[in-house]
Amino acid sequence: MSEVVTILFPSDPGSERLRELQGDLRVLEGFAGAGTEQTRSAGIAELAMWVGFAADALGLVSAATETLGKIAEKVRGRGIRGAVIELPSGVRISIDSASPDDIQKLVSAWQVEKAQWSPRGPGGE
Amino acid sequence: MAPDDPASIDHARKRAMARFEEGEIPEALAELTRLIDAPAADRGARSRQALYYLRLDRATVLRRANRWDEAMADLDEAERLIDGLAPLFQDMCRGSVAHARALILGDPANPGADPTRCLGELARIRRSGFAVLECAADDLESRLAHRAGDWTTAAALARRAAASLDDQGWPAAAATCRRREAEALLGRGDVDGAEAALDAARRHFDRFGTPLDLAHAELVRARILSARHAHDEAWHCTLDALARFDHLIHRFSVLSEQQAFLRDKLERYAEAFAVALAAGGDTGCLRAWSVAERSKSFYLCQLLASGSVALFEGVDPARLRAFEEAGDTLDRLDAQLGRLSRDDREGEPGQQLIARLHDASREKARALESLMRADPRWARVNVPGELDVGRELARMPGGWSLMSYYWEGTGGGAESGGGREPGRLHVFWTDGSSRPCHTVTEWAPQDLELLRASRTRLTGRVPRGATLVPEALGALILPPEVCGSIPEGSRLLVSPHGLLQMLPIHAVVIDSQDFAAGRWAIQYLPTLALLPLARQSNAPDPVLLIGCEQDGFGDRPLPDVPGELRALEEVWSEPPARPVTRHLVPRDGTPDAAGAEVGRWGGFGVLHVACHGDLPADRPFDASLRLGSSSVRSSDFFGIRLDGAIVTLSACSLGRHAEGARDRAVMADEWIGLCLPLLYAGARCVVASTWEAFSEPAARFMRALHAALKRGDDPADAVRWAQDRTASEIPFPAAWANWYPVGVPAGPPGRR
Repeated sequence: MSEVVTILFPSDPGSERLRELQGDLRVLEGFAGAGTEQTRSAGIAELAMWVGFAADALGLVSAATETLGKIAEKVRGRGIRGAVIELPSGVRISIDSASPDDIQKLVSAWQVEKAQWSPRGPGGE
Repeated sequence: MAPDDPASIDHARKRAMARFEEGEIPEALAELTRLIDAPAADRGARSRQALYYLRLDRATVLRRANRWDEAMADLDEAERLIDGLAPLFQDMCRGSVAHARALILGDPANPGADPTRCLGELARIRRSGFAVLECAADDLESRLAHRAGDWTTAAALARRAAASLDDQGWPAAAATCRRREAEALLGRGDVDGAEAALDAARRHFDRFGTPLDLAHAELVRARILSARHAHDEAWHCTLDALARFDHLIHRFSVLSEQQAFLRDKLERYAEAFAVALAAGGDTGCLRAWSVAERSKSFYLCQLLASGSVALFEGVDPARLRAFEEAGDTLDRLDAQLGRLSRDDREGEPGQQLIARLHDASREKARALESLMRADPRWARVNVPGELDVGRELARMPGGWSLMSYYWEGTGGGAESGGGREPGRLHVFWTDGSSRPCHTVTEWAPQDLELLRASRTRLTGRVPRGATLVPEALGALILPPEVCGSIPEGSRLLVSPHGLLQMLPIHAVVIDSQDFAAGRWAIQYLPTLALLPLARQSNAPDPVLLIGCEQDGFGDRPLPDVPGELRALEEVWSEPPARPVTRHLVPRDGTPDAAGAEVGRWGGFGVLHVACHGDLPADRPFDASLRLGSSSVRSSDFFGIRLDGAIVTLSACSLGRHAEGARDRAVMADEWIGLCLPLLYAGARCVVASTWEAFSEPAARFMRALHAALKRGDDPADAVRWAQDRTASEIPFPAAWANWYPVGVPAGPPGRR
């Protein structure tokens, strides 16, 4: 697993639905793992699910755009509203409103930043 | 009781100003404030004149304490009083107020400086037609030229002002102008001229100069000697000047007041650094390294030097009650805020509550400052001694290397410092033979931009897959000569500075291959000046494990916490077992109700707290550990004594510290948050997270950390091992690099 994106849920979708979503995501190309995560921060914390992929699944802009689009479909398919996908750069993509073009632009920017921040280092592969 | 007749008020004012001249700034301010606040009988123009002078003088003291807004408010009040004074007197007074305003508006250290308004006030001064104010205008223009680096104009105007001031019988002001002339000539490279001007200034200062005048003049002397390559003499002058500055800085017992005073003093330390470094070789390296470390964490150092004084002992019970009540109000408001729905929280009800919360926080801060001010021994009973890095190197326990950073220029690039843009980073370190080494890395604007972006990203929620420190910055932070000379497996004690604060240097990638944490066990220390202040510790055996799964503040449950505490209890109970106390505080409980009130934490050698944590960026002393329905706050630790305990905070972001607190000038190098009071209380090492800790990885990390501590590992080694274990299970640095240890290394008896 070398790339991880995070799905952030503004309200708790319920553990059952999260488990189902996790199952849905398994079929994605390059899927390497997923799990819910919570921080120890005070205040209203977003519930989050991380989704890990093999490097090549998100390595190219086209592949990453397609994968993220499919994640959005799966989330919407479970009737979850208001969720966002967070890229490792911290950029957030609204699942409800982002178009494929929007996703592509954000992914392109992320890939440029990735090359600048971590061209060869650990986790950068 | 304050006098109420004009003559007595005038006498008391002059006495207060004499204290100011002696460098007793807090005392002078307290006295002038007492006189201003006392209800005086209105005896017409004479009373108003006395009040006018009080306001004008307090504005001067406040300006020299760098409390510019308060100084401006006093000048506004002084100006209002002028209308009631004798007509002949009024123009002169207006000119004096304009001059005082212009000094504030033209001060580059003042975030509210306004050159346009400053020039407007300058024009008013020139129009007044009074000869002494004409000199003051020359003086002011000389300052402006000096700050713009126009040395020729600065020197000429300062010389002219000095001559006129001398003619009119103002020798102190003339001497200050001559010192500035010396600095300007030095800037122009005219060392002989600088020396002559300084000698003329010192003829006055040596007999009548204030401590600040003497300190500043001594430093100019050091710079002149350095320019003549008389490095040892220059160093002696530098030490003398720094001792004088230190003495003035350490007079402040209230943190925010001291930090305000420091704003422009760091520039002097930067000048001292340049003088020290100019000596070259190991000598120059050690001297400059010492100056760099002396210019960090002034308040923390004086707190530790006065570590035997507990803030809450013997204080006025009414003040203490006000402080405690403010804390209770904060808890209540935090809990109310937590019970709001997301929509309400983001809407008007939430905004109203947040406004009340800020009011309560201000009230608590005022109560805390009042406690600090009222205790004459607080942070002042002992003054930290002079740091000599060479001496500390000789005393370091085996296996440790030291590394310090220092941004050239002022303010260290901290966002709150108002300093120049940093561009050169000095790196000091010891190699495998404990030899001092020094290098400089040059930072281009885009590197600094990348560094700032990285710092911004490493705040709050850090995405699991995030790259933490851009690889392009690796060689600037850990240059090859550093990496090549510190043996792998060493423990590395790092003192960061300015923009490098809170950056996980252990997560810097070296040679595109490995994290720094893979090579060395890295521990952090706010400044090496804390090394000689470390107390002999004798940490008790008992272990306290306290946590909260569901607090009363509406935070999400933390299902990993009970298991984490149980796992740690097992670790510490293995033979040879240490006495363990475990408390899981329920939603409506408190540490007190559980029999684990903070006042008793001093009886434990290991303290572990697992819960939600909160560190409001603009309210660092409200940083809290949420345990049940109450918060253990940062400021609570000022009231306890920890005898060398290791403190592990399994919560979010509590390893952060403030870079600017509300409207106060709080420097990043003071580590104001939980670290400052915990180190003051006597913690040997604090392990905390600099961003939001993922709950489940936190539990794994802590289990590994405590297992290593139990087997006797040094905290730095234990953290490194726990980071490594966590990384092997969760291969993303965001899940392990958030943890870092802070503290003074312990060594074999007799070494430290």
